Amino acid sequence: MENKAVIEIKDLYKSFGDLEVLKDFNLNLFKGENLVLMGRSGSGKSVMIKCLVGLMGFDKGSIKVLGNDISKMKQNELDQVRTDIGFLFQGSALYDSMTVRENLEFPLRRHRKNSETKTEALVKEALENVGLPQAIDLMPAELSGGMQRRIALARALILKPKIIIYDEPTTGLDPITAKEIILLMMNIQKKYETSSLIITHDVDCARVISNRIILLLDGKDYAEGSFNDLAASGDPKIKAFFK
Amino acid sequence: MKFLSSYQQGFNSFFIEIGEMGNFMGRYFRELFSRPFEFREFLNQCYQMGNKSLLLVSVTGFILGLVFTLQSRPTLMEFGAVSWMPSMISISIVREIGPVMIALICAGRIGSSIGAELGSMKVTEQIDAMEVSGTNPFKFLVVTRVLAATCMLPILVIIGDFVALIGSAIIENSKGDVSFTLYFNQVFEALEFTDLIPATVKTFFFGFAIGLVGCFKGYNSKKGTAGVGKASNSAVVFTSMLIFVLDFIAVFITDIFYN
Repeated sequence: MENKAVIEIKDLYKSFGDLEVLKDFNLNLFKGENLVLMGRSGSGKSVMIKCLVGLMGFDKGSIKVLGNDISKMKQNELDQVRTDIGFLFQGSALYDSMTVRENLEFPLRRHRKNSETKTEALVKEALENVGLPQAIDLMPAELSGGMQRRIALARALILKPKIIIYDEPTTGLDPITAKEIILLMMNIQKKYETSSLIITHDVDCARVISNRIILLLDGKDYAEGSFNDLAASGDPKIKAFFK
Repeated sequence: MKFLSSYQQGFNSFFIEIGEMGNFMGRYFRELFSRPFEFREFLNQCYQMGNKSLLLVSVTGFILGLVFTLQSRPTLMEFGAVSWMPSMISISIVREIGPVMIALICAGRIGSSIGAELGSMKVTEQIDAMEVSGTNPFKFLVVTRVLAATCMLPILVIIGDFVALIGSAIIENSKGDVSFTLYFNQVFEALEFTDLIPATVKTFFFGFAIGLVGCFKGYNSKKGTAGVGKASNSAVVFTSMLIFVLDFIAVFITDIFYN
């Protein structure tokens, strides 16, 4: 892990009318790090990541991704930065009118000028990374929840991004599949040396995967530290997460 | 007072939606002429809309021709004008009934399917996933669908009109001993370019309306799965209404130019 920030969020403020969701929120994700963001449902975690990838605007503050201030970028520049970010959605968000192969080819065809053979090889490599080479011609509706999550991870990885954002990667999965997904995330991080921002409620997931944890409470970065530091905290608000 | 204020609210939201649709249409034209062109997806949508609506349009057109001829025949016989049947049927179908009926059928088939598809993509974050992967979802999903609907509807209407005339010819052949050759000779004698051109031009607008409204409703659908159903339903209702409005405008303009 290097001391160079790949994501820098400074004093981020976002409100919806009178409802203040994020109030001067700060976050730094360092190169090669697994940073877990924990917070209660509705605390603004999803809003924060939507602001981070430019799906949603924000009112104040700044967000820098790989040194680029995303609020000052043109659409084509933002699209270019997005190719360096892999995003695993909570519900997988596979394109359900396309096969697994087409889902994986989709970003490749738009951002890489590869030959058909190279594209095919990259798709197969991505599927092998997630242990599902046999699913290549299936439709997303034919896959289980765990398999869909793996394919979504393969799609997030296909452009070899520098940063991966996981939005509740184990939610809705049984404990065994959840454990498999966590192991997969760790293997991928090791293999591609990516930096990961993981949003989760799953304490086991946070314990196994995190280098550092940030607690998002009342719209602010309430506490920060390693899993052990936070788990040993005497603050009742922090303790509530690690029970 | 409550009654009046609910009407006022309804009017307000209707005009707000019209404004939003205007913005959506503006964005469509801006994105239509900017690179990159999603040609592959456009062809895929042409296939989905054109080829897969062909059977429905053909069956509807055929029955339309049969029924229209069967219903008109007794009245024309009463006036001794049954020989005018091919001319009357062809002009009615080509000018008015064919385009409007087939556009309404396509509003149900294509408009609802676009509304439901984009609506479900929206609520399952597939549109966000597309955007996050650095692809412009508006260009990929909306521009291709609206353009495909605009291009496919005139073709479907021409096919539907032709099948309707075949249906009519079958009735005339079985009930009135009119041969197919004679029937179609009279059809082509009766039809002029002034019948064909305005009727075809307005179908481009019908197709555009079907694609645009379906995409607008689906792309902006909210409130989970209930929103998907609502998007699909309101796409059909709004498009059907719009088809009649566009048809009135087209007939009005044609009347100014040709009469």
